[in-house]
Amino acid sequence: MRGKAISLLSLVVVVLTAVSSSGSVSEATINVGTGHSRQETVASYQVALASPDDWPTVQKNPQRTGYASESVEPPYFIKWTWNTNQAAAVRISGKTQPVVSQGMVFIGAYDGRLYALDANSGAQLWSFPTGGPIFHSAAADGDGRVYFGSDDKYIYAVDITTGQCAWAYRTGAGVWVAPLVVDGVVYAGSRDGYFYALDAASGRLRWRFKTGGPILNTAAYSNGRVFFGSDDMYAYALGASDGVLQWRTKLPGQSFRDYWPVVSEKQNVVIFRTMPVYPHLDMLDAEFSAVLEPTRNQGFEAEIAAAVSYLRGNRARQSLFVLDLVSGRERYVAPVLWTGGVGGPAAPPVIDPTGDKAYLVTLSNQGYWLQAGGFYDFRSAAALALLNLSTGDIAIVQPNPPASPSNPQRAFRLIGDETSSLSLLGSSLYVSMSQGVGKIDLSTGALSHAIHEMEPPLDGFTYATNLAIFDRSESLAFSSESTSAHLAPAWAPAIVSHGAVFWKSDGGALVALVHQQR
Amino acid sequence: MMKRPLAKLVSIVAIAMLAGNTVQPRDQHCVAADFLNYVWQEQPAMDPAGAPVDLRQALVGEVSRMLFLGHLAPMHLVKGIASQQAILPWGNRAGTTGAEWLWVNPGEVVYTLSLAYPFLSGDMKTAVKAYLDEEMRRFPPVKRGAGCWAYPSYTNCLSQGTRREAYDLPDSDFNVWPVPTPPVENLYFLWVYAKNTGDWAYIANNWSDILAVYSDYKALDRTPTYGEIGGLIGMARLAKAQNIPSLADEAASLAAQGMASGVDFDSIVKNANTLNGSLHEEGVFVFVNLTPEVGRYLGDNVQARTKAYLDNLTSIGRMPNWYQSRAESQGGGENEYSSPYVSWPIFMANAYVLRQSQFALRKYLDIPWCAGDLYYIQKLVATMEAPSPSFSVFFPSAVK
Repeated sequence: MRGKAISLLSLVVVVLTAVSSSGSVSEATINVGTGHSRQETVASYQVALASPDDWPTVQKNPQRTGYASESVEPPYFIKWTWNTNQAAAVRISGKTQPVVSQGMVFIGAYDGRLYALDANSGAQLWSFPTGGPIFHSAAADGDGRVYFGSDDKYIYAVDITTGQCAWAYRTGAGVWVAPLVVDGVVYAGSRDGYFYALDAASGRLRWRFKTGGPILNTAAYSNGRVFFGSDDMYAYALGASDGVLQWRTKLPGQSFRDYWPVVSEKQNVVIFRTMPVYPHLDMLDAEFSAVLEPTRNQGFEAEIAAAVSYLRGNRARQSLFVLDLVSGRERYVAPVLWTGGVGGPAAPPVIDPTGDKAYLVTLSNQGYWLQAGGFYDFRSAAALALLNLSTGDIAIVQPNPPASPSNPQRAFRLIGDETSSLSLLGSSLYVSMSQGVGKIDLSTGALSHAIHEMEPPLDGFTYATNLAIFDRSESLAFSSESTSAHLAPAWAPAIVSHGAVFWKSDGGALVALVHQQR
Repeated sequence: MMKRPLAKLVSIVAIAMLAGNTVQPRDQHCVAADFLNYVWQEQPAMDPAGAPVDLRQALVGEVSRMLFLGHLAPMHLVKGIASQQAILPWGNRAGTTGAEWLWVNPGEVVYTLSLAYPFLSGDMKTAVKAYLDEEMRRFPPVKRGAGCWAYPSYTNCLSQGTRREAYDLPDSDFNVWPVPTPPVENLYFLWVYAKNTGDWAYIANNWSDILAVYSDYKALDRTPTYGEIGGLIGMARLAKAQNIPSLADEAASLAAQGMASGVDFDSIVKNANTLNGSLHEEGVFVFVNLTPEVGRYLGDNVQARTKAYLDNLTSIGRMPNWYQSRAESQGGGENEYSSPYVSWPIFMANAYVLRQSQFALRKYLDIPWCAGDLYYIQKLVATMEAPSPSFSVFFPSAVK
């Protein structure tokens, strides 16, 4: 089929309204006239070379492992913030993760603009307008272009040095996923039900594949295959070069929503998470009463056996699926129970650097908050687990008790009825939740707040809308000006790049944290 | 130029007060009489050939999907924490959590396909009429104690037919209690059906059931929501068609009294939200089952307040993505989804109250949630009927 790539000239409106706001280094002039000749002077920015320390796509790489070898250790200092002015803040979708490439940070917003920031200073370099909200993350190719989808139905390629459109491809409906960029091809699903493969250089269609439902799930890649879920509730594997169906596996659940599959190439598995067909309190209540209550005093082994039995007997309650990369067959039923805050899919796991294990959150009687004296309920029973990808067994990762048990409101803890999204930065696991980020040092077990978006309520439930950073003893180390809190849950994992941790807050604020020498 | 009865009344009162006269408050029935024209003035029919080809094709596509799939089971939706076990849009909430069911009321499919009917070809009209005949035989829209309005056949109503979802449903979710009763809105739905298909025989043959629905509603003795005002308008027109003028006048009077009360927009918002459950905080219930007539009444009399309310609902801080199918939730609590139940009433208020142009409404059509998305079909029809350079609905001056 003939591609629908449209040229720079046909995007005159978009181009003419592109904004450059600061930091011009050099200038270039391009012709953008159609019918009436017109010239637009645009800025051009010097960009860094691509680096292994970039975080150019959702969860760092096409396998979506969420692992980076780089880490930033506390104590932290806020290097810069962006979009913290509540009155003027742009709204950012929940799953949107900032990406960093060639010295720039890219993030799309509800206002339809893709924003490019200087990664070092946070200064806005340019913004690129589209005709609809941008609901997910961008992907940079490390070679001067950034790609993203918009609800205006287009997949865009933008030159990062100028903020100008390179090409745009129109699909049949809004594009709500983050693109996957591999070997000169841009892959993205659309709400029209098609999965598209576009030539990264030209935007021409290479192939497309029709599924039976809207595609909201961002794709992952491994060894010539692309993986994604469609809301026809099939997990798909397609040949990356030709779009030929390799396998599809029907999974329980009502949607894959807007997370992503995760690949372990070492273990040849791809992991999907789905949104249950039960309301979220019903899910948690059922898991608690069927698995945790009966095994409360019987040890971890009994709990695991009960979890597997429960999930095998209640397939509709299973929300994590470990599939063989080649066949699509389920390897095993892992004893992982659903946790979350809004009924959507629980956050995908992150893969450790060996490729043999995955970190994730489940419910367990061994949860550290429960162990530390939390109320015996599903809220306290959240636990960090390490899934052995070869066997399907799990082990509980037990952090040290909260640093300030006398002030539990300030102690970071996992919460069973909150969505906790993960990234593995060096030897530290970062847990992003609706109100902040926790850091678990896996080498020492130290658990600490990295950021708390809102100063925790000392009087019960009255939250101040500021950014707060805590030191290891949970004492308030930094408090910022007011932010635009609670505009969208922070379900995107924190990232690391070039010595800074970047985190998108509940309110859409972007925060760059660096180590502070003392 | 269209007269605005309430504005006229207010002007008269104001002039009289300025003149220093003592003005006796008008009897509420006199005020209500000002609104009777909205009961009797019908929406002028548009020439279907004047509708944009792409919208007609989309409509034909969606209707064809329904005909191909046969009877469609109601849609099951769990959107997150705030999904109450509920039959939308009529409450009947049985528990704290559970699935939402959409398009359970057989009247909705009757109404939706009747709205689409004028825009279809002769062959499709025949097919749609046959489809509706079978639907109304199996699932009577107003027959209390039968089909979807009785136990245990009610359970069958939820489970039978081609499923709209791509997943298997939990068996427990089919057990919803209490069984709903036919809403008064169905009387308007039936009037549209009879008017557009010409099947007035159905009305005559089911007259006692229609009367029972009307009597049940009157017994509630409450200020009607805007959707219920539409139902009363339907009753008045059905009674007129049955040549029962006293009943027609009574129903028309109730509708007009509802409109007189309904100028207090905020009280209707409160009533509608109360009737439909507290966990749905989106605040859209006030516009549920809005008809063109009631939309015109709101546009003439309460437009500024209605617009301000809609502007707030759709603002960047509330639900800027209100129009999107499967959008991330931004209202009504800790939910993953925005229900289709959010976009539909807001869209219809934009179409019927604010009289947004065809061009403006197109931006909000988005995509259907599934096969048999009745709300999407209603949006398509409303968009085709919206003002455009080639078509505009002209209402003659208000008649008392």
